[in-house]
Amino acid sequence: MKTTQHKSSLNKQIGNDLPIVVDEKTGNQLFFSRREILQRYIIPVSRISKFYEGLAEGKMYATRCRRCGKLYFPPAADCSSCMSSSTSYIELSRKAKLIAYTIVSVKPSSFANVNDYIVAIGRLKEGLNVLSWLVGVEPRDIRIGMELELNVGKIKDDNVLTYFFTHAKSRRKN
Amino acid sequence: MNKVAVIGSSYSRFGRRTDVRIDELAWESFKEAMSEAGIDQKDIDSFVVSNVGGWSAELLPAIVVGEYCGLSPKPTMRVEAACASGSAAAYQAYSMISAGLADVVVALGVEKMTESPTQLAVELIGRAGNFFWEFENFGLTFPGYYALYASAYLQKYHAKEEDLAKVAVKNHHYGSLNPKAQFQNEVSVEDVMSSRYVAWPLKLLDCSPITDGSSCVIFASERFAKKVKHDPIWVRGIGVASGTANLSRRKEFTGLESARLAAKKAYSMSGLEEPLRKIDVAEVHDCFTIAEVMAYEDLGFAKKGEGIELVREEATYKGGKVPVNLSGGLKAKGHPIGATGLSMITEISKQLAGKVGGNRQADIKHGYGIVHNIGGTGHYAYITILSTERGED
Repeated sequence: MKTTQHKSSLNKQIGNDLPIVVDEKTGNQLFFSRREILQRYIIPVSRISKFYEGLAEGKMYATRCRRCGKLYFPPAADCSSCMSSSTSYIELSRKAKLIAYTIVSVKPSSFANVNDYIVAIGRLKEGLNVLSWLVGVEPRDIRIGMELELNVGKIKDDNVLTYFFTHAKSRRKN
Repeated sequence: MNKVAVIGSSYSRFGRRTDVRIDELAWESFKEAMSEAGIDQKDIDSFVVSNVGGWSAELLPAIVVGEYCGLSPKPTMRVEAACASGSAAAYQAYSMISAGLADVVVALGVEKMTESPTQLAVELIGRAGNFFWEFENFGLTFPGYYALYASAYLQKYHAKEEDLAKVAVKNHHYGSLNPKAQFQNEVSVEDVMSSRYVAWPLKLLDCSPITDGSSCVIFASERFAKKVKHDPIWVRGIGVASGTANLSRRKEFTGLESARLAAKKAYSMSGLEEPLRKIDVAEVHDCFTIAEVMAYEDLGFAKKGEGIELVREEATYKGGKVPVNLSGGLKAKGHPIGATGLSMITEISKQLAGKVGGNRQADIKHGYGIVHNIGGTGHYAYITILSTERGED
């Protein structure tokens, strides 16, 4: 599919027996590789499985090092601060302040079918930052410093649980 | 440590180079740099290739380019430091020579981004951070990362999108004077302001383009350099630092901590008492307009929050307080990821040698120039100080 689309701005094949086309604009000859691959990664999450169990229960967890107390978000099974691998999970407060945001209009190919989305960084009262989508807010109503609420739910049509921010005052309906 | 000199440097014409393969593209800058150095392959001890790849077909670019340039079987490797890969190749070459492992090392940067459709390139660059936590779920793009910083900077320092646009206006102006630049057209503030949003508050004309290009810098020991050049350019300082993969792990979003750390190291290594007063010309990493403003502050050209004043006062044009990106910068010259850093080092070497000429040539009074090359969004930071002066032992 991708190759066909890429090819459409080009024309004039050099004969029928070669995968070479001439770029209309520049006259340059381009060889279309016939080797197409689909890349999809498989990523282990066993060591932070409790974080995902939390999401399934509607909870947001960070990790805390049992030895030195350092907090981690994203959750981390190992503490690089004191070199301990003994970790406990704490439930995060849901209140945050917006410290940076953007509205992504030119999207990656794997997000091509999604409407423009707002990516925000919120600072929680624990001092940790969380990066996620900010939903249910009109761009014109967004102000750095505004109060956010951190939620767990499904926000894309992929039907997968994730976490996201909303404006603290405009609670989402579902 | 042995002193290290630049004896030859070049970059190819940047742009949508559908006329050449990756090895042919690398050859262009390699051939020019070799000719400037006046050496041949037998003089070279090792070569380092900077390339990020993913969008291009060759998985082993160092090997493919090495064969094409007649460098096999010399020792080599590919290095990756995202958009600072070129400076990482320079750092590797510098390290080998200063340690006495080699006399002549070729650092060769090449990137062929247009072998894939644009949207795939956007996808892959967007993964340049922490794929698992910040891309998989939230689809950040490269402009998106810097837009997060821009949102915080504009708000905190009461700067406007129009101010950022002036960075693009300056860099397009110099691009229009650089025959190797991808964009050789002037733009106005209105042009930038009316271009479409890519990642608010950044618009298309705030962004560097997707580019094919190559660059080559030949480094040599003092012993060798003196045989071929009576006035080489000297590497006087290299500072390197890194930042967290997750942007959420950063403390603040108005500057890049890694760049400040790298600058401090480079200034200290240069041995200069007042480095800022000695710098005649700079190339900074303006992948986005906001990045150039943060660079002014991270390098100490302006105090925190006052980088935007340098833009408003046009103090970074030729003849200003410190001329920045007289090449057109990444913005207009183009940004072939793995080749960018070495093209910046090439540019400063030629500026210091007075070889740029014309309306892009800075006035060289003290003989010092600086290269600020950032990988990702402050994920890697490489700062290199070059000089016409050898410096003391």
